[in-house]
Amino acid sequence: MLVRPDKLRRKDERPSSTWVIFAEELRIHLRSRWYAVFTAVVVVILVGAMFLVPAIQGGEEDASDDPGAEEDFTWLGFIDESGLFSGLEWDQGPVSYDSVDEGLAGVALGEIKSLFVIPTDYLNRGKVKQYAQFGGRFPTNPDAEATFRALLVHGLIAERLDPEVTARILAPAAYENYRVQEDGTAAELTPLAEEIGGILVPILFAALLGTGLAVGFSYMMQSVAEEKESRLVEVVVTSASPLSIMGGKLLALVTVGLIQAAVWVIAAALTIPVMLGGISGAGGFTISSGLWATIIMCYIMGYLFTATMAIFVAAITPSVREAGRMGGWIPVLGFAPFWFSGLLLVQPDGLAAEILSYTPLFAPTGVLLRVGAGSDIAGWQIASALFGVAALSLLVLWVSARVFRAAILMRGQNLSRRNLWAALRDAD
Amino acid sequence: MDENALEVEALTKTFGERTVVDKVTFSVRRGEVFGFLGPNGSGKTTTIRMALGIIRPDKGGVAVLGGRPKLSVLREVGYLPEESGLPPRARVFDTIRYLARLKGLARAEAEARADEMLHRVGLHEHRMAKVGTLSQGMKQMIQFVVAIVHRPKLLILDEPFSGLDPLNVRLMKDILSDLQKDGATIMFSTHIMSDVEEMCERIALISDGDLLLFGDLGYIRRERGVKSVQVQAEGVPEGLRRTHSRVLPDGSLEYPIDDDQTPEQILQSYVSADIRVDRFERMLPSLTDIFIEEVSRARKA
Repeated sequence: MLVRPDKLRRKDERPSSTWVIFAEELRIHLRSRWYAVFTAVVVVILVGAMFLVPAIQGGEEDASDDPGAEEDFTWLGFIDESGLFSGLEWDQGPVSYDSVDEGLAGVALGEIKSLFVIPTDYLNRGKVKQYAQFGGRFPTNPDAEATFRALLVHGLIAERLDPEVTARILAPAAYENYRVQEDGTAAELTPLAEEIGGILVPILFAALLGTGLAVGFSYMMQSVAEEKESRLVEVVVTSASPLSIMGGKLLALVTVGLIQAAVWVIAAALTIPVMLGGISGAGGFTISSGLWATIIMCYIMGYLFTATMAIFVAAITPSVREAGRMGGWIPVLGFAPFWFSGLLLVQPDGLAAEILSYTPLFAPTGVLLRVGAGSDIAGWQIASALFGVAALSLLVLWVSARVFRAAILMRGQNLSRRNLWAALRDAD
Repeated sequence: MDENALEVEALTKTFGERTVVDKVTFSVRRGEVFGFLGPNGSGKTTTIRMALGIIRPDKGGVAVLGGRPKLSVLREVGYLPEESGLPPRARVFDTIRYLARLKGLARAEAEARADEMLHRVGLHEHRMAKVGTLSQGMKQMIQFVVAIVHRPKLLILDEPFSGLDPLNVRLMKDILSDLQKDGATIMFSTHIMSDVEEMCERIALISDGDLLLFGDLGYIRRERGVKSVQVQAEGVPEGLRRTHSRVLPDGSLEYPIDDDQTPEQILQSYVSADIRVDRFERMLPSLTDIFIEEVSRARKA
């Protein structure tokens, strides 16, 4: 059917109210200084952790590794008065000193971190003197004791036992774990390197989601409540339906939340492998497509529900102050599953886990935590839990739109059951 | 086409046990400037809100531009709320463009109209300023621009001149006059009676939710009859010296009219005394007089 050009142009040019509100809200939020700051803070923390974690982890590895020939132990000095440790002297081994004075000079000049003196009655008493820099009661280099202990073990046995026995004494067991199942059969546990993506990543993303929702909620609620508190809303409601207003705001809030989350996820994806690369056996992990899908859906539903609740609270309250008072408990919902993380980790498919993942208020972070805890939760169960979140969000949005117009009258009044009931009764 | 741009019939709204608008009925003709008067808390704003569909009446009906106040109709209406409610952190130009787009204008058209109107009200140099940095008067003018940027057929203004200096009041009146010439209907509420006398042909007066007066302003004044006469003459007749009169700033005298003293008797006194009369004017009651009289009587009742 032909449409007259002037009619076509008129129809095309008239923008949808929801779209106009969405675009305006998105523009305002993305240009907000606070939004940029909150987004950047998490990225900075992740980047900082990327450098910090391997540094800490690297120090621990020095202490626990087999003191084999390739390691460098020249940062330690020793004086062997017992004559038992001739085997400690190799190119990269600890520095041997002839006298305590020489050793102390080495510590003072920074050539070595600690000087250990092994007395003549060492075998009998096991005493070793350590000379080092101390901060209060504690040595400034806490790894030195553990490292030298390993060197002593190596020195005591290396030349007295078979090399294979020596190796086993130093590294007695590399466990291969099997889970005994309900039917009595045993199943091999996936190695840490392969499983860490499935354990650590969901928990980390759950924490990021909880943080994002907690930070985002107040921001979202305030932006809606501020507009409602002003008379601008009277102009807006003569131009768009409450559902269009609420819908436009909701879409914008969810979008800005997800953009923020996407920045965090990308930052996490880039920094976490570097962090874990320092952990023995954990580098090179992969995240399955199923896990990615779960993470993305949990984020979308988490932000959808939180934004809807922010809009609901702002819609039924007369002022920013009242909104803050009434909605103060909502940001903790995203973190609530973490309070039960002990239960979740021990029984990832127990009653508490089921409640936390199926109750829409907690589901987005609850599902992620449960997945991280090693639950056998199926894809359809995750989908149904998140469907519950979506359904509740739409219901809350519908109620918000209905009471929004009536609640305009409550401007400047305190929130009371009577006022709230009047607004609900006068709903569209 | 319906001859009325706005009709409200038996409009009633109750908050709790208090009836703030009680069976109010009036209409605003297309193309006229209509004054909506009432003391503070009389129910003017609630009536306007019901007329615009912002809140629902408990009883009664509203017709805007011949139809129900649904969004497609309200897009042809401009509204200036009583208090400035623009977001303080938003830029002037962005705010006007946003609200113009909500009224159905395409982006380019909204921007062009925003620029044009900002030039007209002399605030174009502030287009990128944040609303919160503007003076109260400037905010009021921006809110006025928001109300008219989409060239509405019906413009409803709640206390439009409050917070404006005389220059801006004049500017706003000129713009309103131009809008009326272009066919727009204008209804505004105000406490400043001289503005109503200057601009409006018809008025409605409400007090405590009740409609006290509605109709042609000239008729309402004439209906109340002559309340006084003003006489500018070279002297005062002996018979009128003891009569209660008031000396006006230009030296003329104003005599109250009652059953014992008619305008004709006063004029006859001057003629009999052979005193030259330069000006003799029958004075109708001012709108302020009518306002005070009607509201006081309603409150006593």
